[in-house]
Amino acid sequence: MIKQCCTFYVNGLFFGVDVLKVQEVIKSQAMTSIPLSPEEINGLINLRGEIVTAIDMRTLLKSHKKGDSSEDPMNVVIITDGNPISLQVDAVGDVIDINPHRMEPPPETLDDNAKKLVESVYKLDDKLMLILNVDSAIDIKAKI
Amino acid sequence: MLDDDLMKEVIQELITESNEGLDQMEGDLLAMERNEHDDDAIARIFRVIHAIKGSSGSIGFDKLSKLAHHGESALDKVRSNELEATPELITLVFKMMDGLRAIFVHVEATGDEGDTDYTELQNAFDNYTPNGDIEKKEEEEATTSNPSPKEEGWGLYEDDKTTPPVSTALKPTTDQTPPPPAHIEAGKSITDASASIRVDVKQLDTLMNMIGELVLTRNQIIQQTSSMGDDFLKSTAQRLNSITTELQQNMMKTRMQPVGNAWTKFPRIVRDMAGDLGKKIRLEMDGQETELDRTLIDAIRDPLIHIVRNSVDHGIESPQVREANGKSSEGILTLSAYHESGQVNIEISDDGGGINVGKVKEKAVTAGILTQDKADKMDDREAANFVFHAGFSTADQVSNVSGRGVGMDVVRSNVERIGGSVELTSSLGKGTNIKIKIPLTLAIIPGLLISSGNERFAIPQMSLLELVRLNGANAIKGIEDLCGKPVYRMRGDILPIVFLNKELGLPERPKQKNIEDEELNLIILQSDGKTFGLVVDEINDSEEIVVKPLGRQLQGLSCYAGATIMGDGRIALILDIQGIAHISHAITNTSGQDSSKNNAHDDATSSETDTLLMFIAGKTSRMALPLALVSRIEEIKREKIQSIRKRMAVQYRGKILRLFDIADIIPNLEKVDITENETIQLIVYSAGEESVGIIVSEILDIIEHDRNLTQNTETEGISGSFDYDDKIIEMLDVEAVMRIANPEMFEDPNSPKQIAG
Repeated sequence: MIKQCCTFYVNGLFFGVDVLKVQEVIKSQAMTSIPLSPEEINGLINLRGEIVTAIDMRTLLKSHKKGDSSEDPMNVVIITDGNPISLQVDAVGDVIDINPHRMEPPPETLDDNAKKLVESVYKLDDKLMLILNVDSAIDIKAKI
Repeated sequence: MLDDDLMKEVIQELITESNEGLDQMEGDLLAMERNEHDDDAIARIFRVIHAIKGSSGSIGFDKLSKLAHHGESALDKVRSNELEATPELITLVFKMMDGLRAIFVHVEATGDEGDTDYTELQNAFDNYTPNGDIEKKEEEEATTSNPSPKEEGWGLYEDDKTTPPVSTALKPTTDQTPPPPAHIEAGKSITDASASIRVDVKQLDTLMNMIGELVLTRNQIIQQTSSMGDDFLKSTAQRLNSITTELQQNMMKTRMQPVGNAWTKFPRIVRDMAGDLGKKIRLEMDGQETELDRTLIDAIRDPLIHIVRNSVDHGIESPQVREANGKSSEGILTLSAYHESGQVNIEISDDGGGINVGKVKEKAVTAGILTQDKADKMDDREAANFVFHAGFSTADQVSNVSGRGVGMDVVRSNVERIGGSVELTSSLGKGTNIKIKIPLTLAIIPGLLISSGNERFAIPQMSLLELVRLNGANAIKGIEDLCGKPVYRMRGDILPIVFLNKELGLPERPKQKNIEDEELNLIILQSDGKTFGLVVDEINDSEEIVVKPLGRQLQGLSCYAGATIMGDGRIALILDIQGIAHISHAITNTSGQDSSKNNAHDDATSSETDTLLMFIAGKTSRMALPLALVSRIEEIKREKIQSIRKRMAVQYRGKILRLFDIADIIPNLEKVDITENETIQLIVYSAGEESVGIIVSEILDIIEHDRNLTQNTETEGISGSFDYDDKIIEMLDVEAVMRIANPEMFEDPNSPKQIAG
């Protein structure tokens, strides 16, 4: 059960991730691009000597093509069992305490891509927060 | 009641200790069987079994304790000299050890002892009497249930058809031929260390990673401080530098394990297999103490087992065949490990039948991997290494002739995955030698940093052969087009060329305004035993790089082997040479195209060009001779030259090398003044066993030139001349010159010698 959420914005959408899955949030970093990698992957970041793969949330959400963002993206670094992964987002919000009664499954009408990424919907007073399914967000397989 | 975690820990400890004990015990038992054991051997064996019985009993593993108990009782009688340690009894003890190990595996996986019933084995111990019948029955059962190891062969040795039936094969250990005491020390020397503690391997890995970080931070600091004026900071950075280097080296050492750890099972495997196959095989091990990174030891364990099994199964012949061929009935399998030029070499050699190269070629041709023409040209060494070819060993045609031949390609790919290489040499009737070369460690490797399309990459230096830079017009002309594929001619061989920018979809290097400024950087690489050239924008530097794996998301990109962090904190991807070769199709595994080298040779000859060595003969004459005829180019010190009956000679590779100046033979040439220089340039030419050295003033270049010469028959020793770079080059007819200078070299040894005067 998620108790607290780390929140961020991607192209106007408000997202939340279980705070226990987030290692840290860092500002824009120098990026090494990876030729031949899928377009969802922006490149590699050197995070204190660890090599972090950066995933472009905009491309992942198919909301915008890469390079549309005018500002430098923020990095939400996710803990995995292997190398950490960074989700590149537009801006970072507060950490929100979660009341389980306000959580709802996502509506059936979402398209397949969104259904895969949105685990559930959390009703805030003024807006809706989409809880990101981290496992499927980072489930990208490059292949040549 | 014990806490769960504590219980787990206790069990784990029991398993680790018992397995160590069993390994050591195995060594002692094998020594005992060969009558080479020292006085304490039986006591040690007894202690191990007793400890297992005691500790497993105390935590409620009745089965373990019971099985160990029966073994212990029998061994007790041996200890008190009531029983003799016959091969039959030792076989029983081995079986008990196998049983114990099997239970340990089960315990480790599930927490309980499993359902396997060992009552029969236990009874066998109880009923054991010297020369009794019970154990025989036991053994027969065991052998019928033992799967035959045949099916894993590489299928290339001529398998003995005369292998005797298994029942007679059970006896070989009874006649004892005491071999030299080379083995068995492995287990002892490793486990005896008392001043050591047990450390979790994960802990070591974490430490290793942190030191990797430290190395990177150190690199950054050094880079920053070198540009600053502060002397104190500079000297502190230097200290940090040396401490880090030392720390890194020491940390590497803690990860090192003796290679013998990967060998502990071999005495047993060889003993059992030899018994089953009715062969007599002595295993000799040498250099077990040679140390290797732990991860590398794990990686070579399986390939080694495979090779050893192959040698026992297919390499070494049955005693009958060996005797018929005039060899000792006992085959020798040698494992040795040693350091050589920053690598560890492991050799597995047997004195068996060797590989029939003719047959290998024949099979390769029938399997359609090789054309008859190429097979004829291929030398024995190259052909023998065909056993590593994936398409070769699994092809149907092959499997019908002999063993299934699966696996040698797997052996090679496993070894290459860790940056090593395998080489096989074999001589028919005498034996086979397989040499595995392994880097000392994986974590930190020497790498070449390059740039392409504004990105930086690292190339592991172990796949690097050489660097070529073409300037000016050559940068454009150097790369030629061959049926739409770019190629480069390197000393007569045609190399396929891969443009890194193109393969990775990077922007192309901008064209220079002046053609003189144009340059092309070519990296000659080797992968899978094949050579190709990689064009990159810039070659930067070579550096020790810390290899870091890429995330799961990027594992599928076969063109990268990992990533590394450079001194400035930026990340560089490490290119996977094999992967690059595959995505660019510079190397294919399809059967039609095999070695690019062979193609290269075909083309080189058909285009009628020769690679020539250009030099200055005498004092000033430009001459050339085909590079193929040159065996070496040497530089020797003047004082090494000796005079023997007015002829010059020099000690060369343990022989006397006769020297001469071309001016002695060809008229109107000024001799090279050997008193002028400290060192003398030599071109060494060999025909058969004989070699001579030609003294020249200067070696100029290696050039490509077509074979059309202006004929010039007036001067003996010159076959013609050609124009190169607006200069006339004379072509030296080496053979003609040699005939005059050194007639003995061409004498037919069979013809009667002329006796002078």
